[in-house]
Amino acid sequence: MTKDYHMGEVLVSALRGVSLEIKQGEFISLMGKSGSGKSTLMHLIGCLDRPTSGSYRLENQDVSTFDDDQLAGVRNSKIGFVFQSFNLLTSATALENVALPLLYRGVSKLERTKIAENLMAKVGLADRMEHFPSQLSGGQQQRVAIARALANSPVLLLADEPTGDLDSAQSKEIMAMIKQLNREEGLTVMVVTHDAYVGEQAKRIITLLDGKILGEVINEFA
Amino acid sequence: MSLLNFLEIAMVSLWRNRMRSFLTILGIIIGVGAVIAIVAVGNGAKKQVENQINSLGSNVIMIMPGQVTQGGIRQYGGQTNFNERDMEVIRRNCPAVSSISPQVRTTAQAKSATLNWDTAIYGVSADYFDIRNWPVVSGRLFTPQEVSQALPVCVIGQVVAQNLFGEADPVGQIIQINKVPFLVIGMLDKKGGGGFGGDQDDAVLAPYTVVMRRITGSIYFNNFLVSAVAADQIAEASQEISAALRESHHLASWQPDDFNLRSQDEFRQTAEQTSKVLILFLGSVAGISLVVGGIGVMNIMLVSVTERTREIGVRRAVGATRGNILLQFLIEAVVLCFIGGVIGIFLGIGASYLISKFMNWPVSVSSGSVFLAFGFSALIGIFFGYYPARTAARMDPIEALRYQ
Repeated sequence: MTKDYHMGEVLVSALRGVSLEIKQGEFISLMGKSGSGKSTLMHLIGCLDRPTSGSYRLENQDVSTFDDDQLAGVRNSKIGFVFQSFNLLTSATALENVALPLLYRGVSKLERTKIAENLMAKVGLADRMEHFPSQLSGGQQQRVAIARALANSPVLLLADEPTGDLDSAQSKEIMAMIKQLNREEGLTVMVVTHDAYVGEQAKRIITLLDGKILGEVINEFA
Repeated sequence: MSLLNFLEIAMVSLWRNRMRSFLTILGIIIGVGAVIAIVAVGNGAKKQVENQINSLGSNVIMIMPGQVTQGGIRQYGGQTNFNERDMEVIRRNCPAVSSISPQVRTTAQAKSATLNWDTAIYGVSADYFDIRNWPVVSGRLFTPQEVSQALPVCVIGQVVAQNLFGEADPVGQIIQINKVPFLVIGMLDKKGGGGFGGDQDDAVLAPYTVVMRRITGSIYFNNFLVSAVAADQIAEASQEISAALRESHHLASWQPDDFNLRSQDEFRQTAEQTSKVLILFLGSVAGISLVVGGIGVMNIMLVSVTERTREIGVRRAVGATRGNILLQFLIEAVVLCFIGGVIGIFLGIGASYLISKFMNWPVSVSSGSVFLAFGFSALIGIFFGYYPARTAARMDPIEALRYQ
């Protein structure tokens, strides 16, 4: 895949031909300096954007030709996002945040609440359901975000610098949770980071530089 | 995803941002309230004027002396003067006229044994009370004989009775007007404020003969009050009167009338026209404030869309389509304006009530204005909510997620 941007008059090639295959159940970390194209690649894999050229097959479906609404549908049913800055809705409770993806799938309120409650319990926040994000610590907020990412039973969990805004203790906790999800439930996980500690948790470490894959390492220790 | 879901999102979001929501709809509240109150006050005023015109009597035509002008130049040295002969002419030659009464008007001080009161003195004929549908509540009216004999009798309005005799029955009492003693033979029914200034109950009515001879000393009438035989004969009667008076005044065909005819219908039409223009004018001022309120909604919605860029990004990331976002913000705007409309309606009704209570002004809240204001505020929500909603829907999810 390639991806070009227009920044005013200048054409920026963020991805200059990346080929990648991710198998079900893998735990991959995408590493690289800022400007290496890792965010762009994550946006393409997360169906937030379309490649300029090349194709992207997600579960045997070529999503690179999908229109906006179809991509929204794919995001809603197959992708779970975890962001660096949590990105929870500040005016919604933790429970409502977790239930958000289900809302756009047309799940009834009763059902939404049930699923969200189970997920809140799963991330260890059963007693924080009615709290607002501002009433939670950074680690707790990120756990709510993980629960939200799991709400639609995704085939791929995409975590963009999931520990970037956390201290080291919270970082460990969050990474352990992500690792556990991969190992115990076979969830395919891709973590985008420039933090070596986070990257080393993955079994397969891909490094990007200047819009190309620089190298790939299989991490035997993870 | 059902509309109900969107409605729920909108309500929750509006409630969690109560202060912002309230400020957003303030303009709508004031606009709708103003429309309701102004239309209510206007309708009340219209009704009052109608009542006043109806209190004039039935099928009434007023004949007033005209100042004859031609090409902007006043002719014949001024005003026509009506006399007995004119009355006879109309009586004899106008079959569509059922009754006629001259009016001689002056103001004077009326005195009872102990009290005095400045009031209006009317000299009229016995037919006057028929024309004006004005019965007595006690005593009797004067007769044509008493008029032709110029007997000093009078009937008095209730305001005069109150001020000269208090609660006592005035019938059989003597009042003095310009040192002429009059026997009070009746007290008139209450008629209320007139449309042309003054209280109609503040008057003494006596035979025109005695008023002219012993009080005013004039030999001319101020005007005539005529009643047509039926409502559909008013135009007919007017024509007959016109022809009779022209002949009696020896007007050549090229000369304009030296008198004016005004029928009750004309008064009604003029009043209706006036109140219509007034309501339209005030209503459009209020309507403009409603539109300004709508623009206020748009402004704050636009700011709110920018403020909520992250939220939009998150929603898009978890699967909301552009349509979902558009609908969410549009419904928020409509719900906002809807709530603003409801509050505004209550405010308007409340204001109308206060106006009627403290300013002693009749108001009538019409269901039409309520529905209009309501529908209009919902429309404003859609119209002014669309642009911000579209702005929100068009955001790129990646940009939106990055927004600080």
